[in-house]
Amino acid sequence: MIETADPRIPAAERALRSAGFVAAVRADGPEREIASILAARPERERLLGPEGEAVADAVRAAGFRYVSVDLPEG
Amino acid sequence: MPSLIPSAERRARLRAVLRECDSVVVGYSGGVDSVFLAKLCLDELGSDRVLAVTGRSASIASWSKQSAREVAGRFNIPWLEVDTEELSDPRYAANPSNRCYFCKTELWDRLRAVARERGLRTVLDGSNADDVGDHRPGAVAAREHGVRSPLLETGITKREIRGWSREMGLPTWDQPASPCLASRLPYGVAVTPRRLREVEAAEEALREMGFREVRVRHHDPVARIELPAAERSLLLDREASVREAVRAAGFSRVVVDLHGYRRGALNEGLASPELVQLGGVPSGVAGSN
Repeated sequence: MIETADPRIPAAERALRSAGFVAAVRADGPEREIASILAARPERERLLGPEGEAVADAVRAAGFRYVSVDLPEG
Repeated sequence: MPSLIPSAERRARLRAVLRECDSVVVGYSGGVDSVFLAKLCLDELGSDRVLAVTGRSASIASWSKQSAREVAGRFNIPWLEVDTEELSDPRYAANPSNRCYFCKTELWDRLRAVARERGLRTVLDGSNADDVGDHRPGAVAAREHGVRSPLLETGITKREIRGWSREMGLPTWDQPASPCLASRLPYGVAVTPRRLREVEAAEEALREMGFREVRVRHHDPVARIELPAAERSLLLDREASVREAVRAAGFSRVVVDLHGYRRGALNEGLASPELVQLGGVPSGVAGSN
């Protein structure tokens, strides 16, 4: 977990744990409106597959407008 | 299941509306609707009574301009480009939720001037029956400028336009929607030439990789990519290339939206008083920002 004072982050990460993911979350964008999921490749594949939208709904409920997966450095 | 093409009666009604317009300037972006309308006007009114006009500015993507030019040339549609200066209007550049009103005001001002100069009686746009219910502040500007919407007036749907376009041999029949580049900036994020260039460069690179219905939303300095589900496997195959191409366009971070591509995504957070819809335009909304 990334250390943060934003209460949405632990809530979003709890939603991810409930769905079986270990990924971390950070808030992005000029208004911190995007939840960016920092996931390793196997979890990125799952998130971009059929189960991704339901997971995104759960993460968005933590208080974000958009939910995304980060494309990290190689 | 809705029909792929309009009935003979509805086609005849549309042709009658075009004849009633007598001679026309068509607002012509090079997209599905305006190409279809311009070609139908040409067939119905003849080349000396039709002029398709494309607004040229930094908010219009290069691929839209190219499509407009190519299709006009191929089908002998009389065509003109005019510069529009919406980016110089601070009300537009501030990017309020009725941004399109200021852009379309500029466009229809220019097109009406062209129509006057050329002695063409009516200015037309390609709004259609499926645009009813969308957030359309630009429709207020069209109404204020006396612009007619024959496809909307005769209830022609997008699906019918695509079907009829295919029958007419128009290459745009299956072209994805391509709204202006400013639509990639969340409301309130200023529309600047730099941001528009970054979006255009990123989307151009992704299109070259084979993505078809892609949007790069600009959350300075983050790029949020929206893709339909069918294009996500390509993303996973080309992950590193996608990231590098989008970063090279000027973004420092690249993320992919998990809800995917959806039309009008940036309107999702608007409160109902901010929404301006065809068929239900509240008075006084247009100039309120």
